Amino acid sequence: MDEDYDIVALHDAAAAAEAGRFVTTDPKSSALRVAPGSTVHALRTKDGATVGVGVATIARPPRFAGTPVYRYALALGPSVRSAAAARRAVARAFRDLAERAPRDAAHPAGVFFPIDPEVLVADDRACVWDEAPFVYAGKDPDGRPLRIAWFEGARIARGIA
Amino acid sequence: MSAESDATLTLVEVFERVDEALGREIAAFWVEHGALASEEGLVRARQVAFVARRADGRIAAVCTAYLDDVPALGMRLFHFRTFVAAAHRRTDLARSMIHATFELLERRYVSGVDRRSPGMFLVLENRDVQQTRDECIWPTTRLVYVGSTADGRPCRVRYFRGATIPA
Repeated sequence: MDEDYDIVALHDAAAAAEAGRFVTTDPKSSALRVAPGSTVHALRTKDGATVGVGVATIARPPRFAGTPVYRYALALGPSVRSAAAARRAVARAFRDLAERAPRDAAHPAGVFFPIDPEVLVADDRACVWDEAPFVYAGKDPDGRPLRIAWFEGARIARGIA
Repeated sequence: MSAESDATLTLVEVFERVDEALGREIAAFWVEHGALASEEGLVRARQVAFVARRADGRIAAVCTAYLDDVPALGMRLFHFRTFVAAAHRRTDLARSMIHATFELLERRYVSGVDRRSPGMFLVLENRDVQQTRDECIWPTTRLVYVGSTADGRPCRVRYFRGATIPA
C-alpha cells in the first residue's frame, strides 16, 4: 500500500476542504490545522482516495532564532500509517516545497517537522533520513522528536543568529 | 610571523595521542597567542585532534574534539573547536581542520572503533564568522544549523554516516 499513493499539492479552498474531509474521517489527524497561507499535500491512491494529509505552515520557531521555516504536520490513515510511509511522505513534501520556495530571508529556509508519535513509531532512529536531508534536532518540551531539513542555499535569519 | 598558504602547512593527527611534550608545546602556542592560560592549556591539549604545522615546524593552528553532552539534542557529541594563529586566519585552514576531524571521527564510528557518539557538534563563537557564514548548511563541511544558544551563538551538527540516535 505504501507505494500506491501519490502526493498532490493543493491550494486555497480546495486544500482546506480536502484536509477538513480527511480530519473528520480520521480522528488521529484531529490535530491538523490549515491556516491561511498553508500548503497542503494530499496523499492519494490511484483510485483517488485520500489516505493522508500534510500541512506546511510558515513559522519562526524560537529555537531557530527567528529563521522562517515551514512547520510540517502530517496525518496518515490506517492503511499507510508506518514510519517508512511517513518519512517518504515528508521527503516528497520537502522536495515540493524546496522547488517552490524563493531563496531569500523573508521566505522559509527549510522544513521543520515535530513528529507526532501517532505518525512515526519508535524505529525512527536514523540521525539523518535516507529519503531526504532531515536531521535529528532534539525533542520539544512535549517529548516529540524534532527534525529539520534546510533548503540548499538557505540562510539563517540575518543579525539574529 | 609571516602569513603562509595552506599548501605549506601540514596537518598532523594526534587524536588521543597527545604526550606530555606535545601538550606543553600546544599550551605554549595558546599562551603565546593569548587564547588560553597555561594551566587550562595543559588540560585542553589532551583534547587536540589535529595540529597544523608550518614549514619551519612551528604550530599554526590546533583543533580539539571532545565528548560532551548537548542538552538541546539530548545526546553526547564530539564538540569541535579550533584556534588558528592570526597570521593564518585568511586561509582555509579552519575548514580543512573541520574536514579532517570529521573524517577521522566518522571513520572510527563506521568501522566500529569508536561508537561513543553519532556525530560532531560545533558552536560558532566568532561574531564576524556568524555574520558571513550564515548558510543553514555549510556548503563544503555540510555542518547543519540546528538552533542557537540562549546568547545567540549558532550551533551546527553533522552526523556520521549510518549513525543512529542513542537510546
